[in-house]
Amino acid sequence: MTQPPPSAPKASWRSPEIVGELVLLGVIAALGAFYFFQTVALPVGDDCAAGRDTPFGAVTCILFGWAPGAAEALDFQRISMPGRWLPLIAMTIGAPLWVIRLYTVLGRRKAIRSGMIMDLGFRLGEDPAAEKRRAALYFGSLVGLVLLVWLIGFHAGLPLWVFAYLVFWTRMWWPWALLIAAAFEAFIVGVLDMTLDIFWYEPLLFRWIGVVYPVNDWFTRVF
Amino acid sequence: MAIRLARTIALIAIVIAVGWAYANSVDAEFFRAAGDGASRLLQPGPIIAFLIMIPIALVSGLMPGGGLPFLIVVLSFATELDPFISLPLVIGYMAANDLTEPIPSILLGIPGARSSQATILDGYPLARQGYAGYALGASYTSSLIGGIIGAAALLMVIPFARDLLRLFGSPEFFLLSLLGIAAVAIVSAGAVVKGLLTAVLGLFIGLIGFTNVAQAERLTFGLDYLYDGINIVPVVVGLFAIPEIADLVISNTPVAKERLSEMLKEGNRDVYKGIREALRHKWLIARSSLIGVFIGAMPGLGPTPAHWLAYAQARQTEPGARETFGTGDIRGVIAPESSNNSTDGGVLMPTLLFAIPGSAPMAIVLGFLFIVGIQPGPQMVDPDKHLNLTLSFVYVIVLANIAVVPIVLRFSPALTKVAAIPPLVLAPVVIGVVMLSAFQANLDVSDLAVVVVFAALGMFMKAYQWPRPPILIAIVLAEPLEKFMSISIQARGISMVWQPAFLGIIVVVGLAVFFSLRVQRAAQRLQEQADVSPAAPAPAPEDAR
Repeated sequence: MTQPPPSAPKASWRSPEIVGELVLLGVIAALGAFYFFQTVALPVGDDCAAGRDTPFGAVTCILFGWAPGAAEALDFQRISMPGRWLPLIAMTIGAPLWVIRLYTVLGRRKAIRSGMIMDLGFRLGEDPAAEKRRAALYFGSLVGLVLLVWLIGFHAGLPLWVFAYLVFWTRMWWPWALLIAAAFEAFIVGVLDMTLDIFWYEPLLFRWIGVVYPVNDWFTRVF
Repeated sequence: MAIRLARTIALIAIVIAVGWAYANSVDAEFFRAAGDGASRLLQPGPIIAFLIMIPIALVSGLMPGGGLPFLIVVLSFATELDPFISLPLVIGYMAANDLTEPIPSILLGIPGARSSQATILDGYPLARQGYAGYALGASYTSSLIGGIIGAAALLMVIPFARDLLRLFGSPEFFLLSLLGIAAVAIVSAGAVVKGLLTAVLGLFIGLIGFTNVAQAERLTFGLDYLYDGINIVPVVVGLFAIPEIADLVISNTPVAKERLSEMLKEGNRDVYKGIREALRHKWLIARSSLIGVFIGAMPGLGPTPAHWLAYAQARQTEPGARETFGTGDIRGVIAPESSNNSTDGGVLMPTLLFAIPGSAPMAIVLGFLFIVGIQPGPQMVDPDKHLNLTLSFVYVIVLANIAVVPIVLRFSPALTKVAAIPPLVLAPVVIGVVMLSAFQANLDVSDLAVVVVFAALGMFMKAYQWPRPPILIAIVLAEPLEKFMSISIQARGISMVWQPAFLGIIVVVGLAVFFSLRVQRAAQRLQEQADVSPAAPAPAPEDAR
């Protein structure tokens, strides 16, 4: 008598792949839902005549007609107008695929496949706890950089962030870190100010204290 | 003997037939565009840009995971330049970048890029046996010849593509774009549902903003920032560059210092012997390069499967290779490297002619083409439009290869030090530069918030192995796709689906997807058998045996 093949191991509900996939599916569903409702309510110009040869209205009717509320709200004349077709195609293709993927994830099957060609996953090593900590620190530092730049501008914010990152995270000797931060300052001034002569936005702190951001007046195109 | 004679006669017959067809396809306008392309490249602007680009390409090619983030940096700064400077600059960057990628693979057993993983199998054992310079010399020579063959293939295809593209109108381009997105999504994911869902997500994002087709706003939530749609540069930085750097930081595997100094001593020895050895295997280079061109021209495959298949064919066809491959056989370096570089010409074909990117970096280049106002397709082969620009890509691939080889021949061991910089030190520098490039592309600080949002999305997708290229391709192609679709439906109605060209495209793209999936599976099997992952340096020769 032959033994039945062992079933694929199921992932835990709290495992990152289940949570992560649900988050990604949630993002797709949210955008799809926004399009669905906006496709119905989207105002259009007078010159936008209803298409006559569009099968997409019919497809939408079949797909969404089961929901009495949605069916009542739908204006198929509107849906068949230009500007709705592509979102509807995307929704029509996406909806069944989304359901299939959700079914797979909720079935907690080991769905992650390895060896993709164009895009590989993260290279994980032997210390998952340290890797998770580094990932959180990395993303946190990225958000910190954006907030810092928003608050005080690139000229001060970026070198300051680079210096802090190198000293506190990589434990670099501070004069070396200072040198790298200074190189960034030189890059910003040399390339962005003196070569491209870009106009900088007003950082939040300067707007709060009512002072005009002076950097735009300090440098002009040299090269 | 008879078989060899028959093979030679067949080869000569093919060359004559293709040459005859080619001679019939090129005309005076083609040569005028070719001359114009060359003369515009020889202006001070492109030359200075080229000279600045070469060291950046050399260094970034050596950084593990550095090629893509720096490509994005180069692209974002290039938006400020004339397309005739910026686009050859980007193509040259990619060609030069490819040449340095095998250096860390051979010397340190660490793939600088995914497209040099197979090189480790024989390159690293050779280096461990004291033949690092020999392997590097063979690698550069085969890469150089492969790059030139790829450029020549692109040059050959252009006149034929002109004739083909004349048959296409809006319905055909609509279908081609739609199937292109689907093809890349299916092929790149390794999981069809995830790939297609990613493409759908990309379409949703790409359709945000004001649309001329309906004269209305979509999903702007009343925000002025979203009125013009989401800017492509911060999307690319967030989706690709930030997760690549995260990969370095999270794994944080610095190179052992003693291994590095040992390799630095041996990297300059026997280089010229390696060059001679590569030239001795000219047919292997030719075969591998043609594999690279062909696989590169398939939607969504790129150089990774190409170099694995070239390695496999060398193992199958070269005498005695089954016993010696994996233990330090120079042919195991020559085959993947020549195919790796020849894909540069191959991936440009679908990207420029049909707006279907052949690889992940090409998806980024495609987005850049739209940013600078160049529509891929018939315009790229029209002598009155951008044929000169397309031909300049051919020149630049050749020039970049020729310019970089002497530099890497002389300085490769010293350049290897770049690959040994600890990832944690490298990360803030690269993040700083990519954030600056994300900002300066549109000079809008809100773009930084977009970077963070897409970085979160990109890291999620990378972590859970959802493919990222389809999302970018869909974002880039959403607008032209909608335009072509609207024109087609209004002009021809539903009857457009019965046009012969329309049906022909469905068959051709279907066959391409089928073939690509088979190639991808074959490459995956080879990769799994070889067990070369970036996390695990290749075994030493004694272990490999």
